[in-house]
Amino acid sequence: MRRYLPPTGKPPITPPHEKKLTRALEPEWLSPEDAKELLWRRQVYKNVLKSMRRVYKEEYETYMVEKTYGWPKIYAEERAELNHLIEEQNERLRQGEIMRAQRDKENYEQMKNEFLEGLEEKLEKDHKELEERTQEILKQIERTEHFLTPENLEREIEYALEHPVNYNYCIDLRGTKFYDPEPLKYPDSAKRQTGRRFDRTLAPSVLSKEELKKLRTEKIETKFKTKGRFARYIKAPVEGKVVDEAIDMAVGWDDVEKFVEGGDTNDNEKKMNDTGKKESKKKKKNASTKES
Amino acid sequence: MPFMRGVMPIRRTFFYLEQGRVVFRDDVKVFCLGYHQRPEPHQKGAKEFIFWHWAQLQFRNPYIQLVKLKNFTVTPFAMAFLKDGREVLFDLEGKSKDEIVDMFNGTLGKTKLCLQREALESKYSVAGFGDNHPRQCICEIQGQQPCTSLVKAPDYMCGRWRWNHQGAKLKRNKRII
Repeated sequence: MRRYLPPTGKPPITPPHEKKLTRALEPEWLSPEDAKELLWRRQVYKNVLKSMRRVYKEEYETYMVEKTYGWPKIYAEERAELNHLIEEQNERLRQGEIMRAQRDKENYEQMKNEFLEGLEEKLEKDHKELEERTQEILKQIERTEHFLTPENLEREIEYALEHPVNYNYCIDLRGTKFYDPEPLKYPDSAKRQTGRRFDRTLAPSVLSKEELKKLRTEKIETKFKTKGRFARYIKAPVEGKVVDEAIDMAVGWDDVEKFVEGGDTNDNEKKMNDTGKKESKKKKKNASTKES
Repeated sequence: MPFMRGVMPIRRTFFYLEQGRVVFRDDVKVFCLGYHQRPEPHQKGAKEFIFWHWAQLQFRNPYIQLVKLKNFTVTPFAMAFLKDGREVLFDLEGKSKDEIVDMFNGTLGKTKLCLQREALESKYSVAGFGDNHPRQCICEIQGQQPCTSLVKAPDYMCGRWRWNHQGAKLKRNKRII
């Protein structure tokens, strides 16, 4: 395998030197006779080529007419076909333009309506909000009449003391609320204000017997859904405490009847009753021993 | 090599390129197509046409200048410039790639008449030489070199002299290392 040197000189792809760009080549000197001869030869050559081209063109046209049996007709048909197809395409473009204009118009109308609807909604919303806010502010202004100020402080304190509010109530599993009675300013018919008894446990004697009886009947009626059946079993306040507990522990109507007649449904009640009896017996014994 | 994955290399196989349907007439000299890089649904057809059929178009129309214009106009379009100076415009908005192919073929593609004329032309060629042509040899035409069977050709026109004369030998010897 031989390795050849690359050809000398500059690669053809590179641009020419700067000097060459402005270089003006001086032709060799020619004598006038030689110049005249060369000019004449060039003229003759050009004329020959021109005439040859014309000859061959004429030959081609006559040849085509003779040998091809009317090819100009085919050419004409082809040109007409092309014109027809181009015209069809232009017609399609015109139709497309009309449809596009219509479509753009519809889109514009739709966009405009949507925009206006949105604007209307926003205005309505703003109006509504404005109304709500004005109402709020007016209420706030009304409330300011009851605000505490240094001027009406003493008056408000007196009012609060005269009209206390009780938020204390008890609630059972059924959800019935038992409010404590309204606190009295002067309990136990005392002239002097001793204190507030808001809790029921602190003031058992506040309720009268009739009120207690009424409470218990209501309690039984709500639990057992009866009316006026158990009224004779309501007892005095002291003993009524036991009855209340028995009612809470009783499951059915039979249990209540048993308890009232003397039988106990619960061991706790037995114990309670037994202890009571035992204690009374003990007391008697003690008393008897002392006497002796 | 991302080009060698998926569908892309199939579009450059010889078999695929030969299946191209769009063959323009001789009147069409320049054809340009404007498409979008990130098309919307109604502009998708043009981009798909470029993806699938542009190489086929180039293969089947080697003497036509094909130009792609990216993000040039709002609507995708195509324009053909004919030999006589006329321009034919195509609106490609809302069309699929198959519809575009049919449109090009139907308007500027080679029809039956066109193909018939070309077949006839190839059959009867005035520029041919030989038995079935008007001239037997090119030497019959004025201005051409005469036949070497009748007149000997000068040395400088023979390959024998060109490869073996003294100047060429010296040059060849110098260049060998």
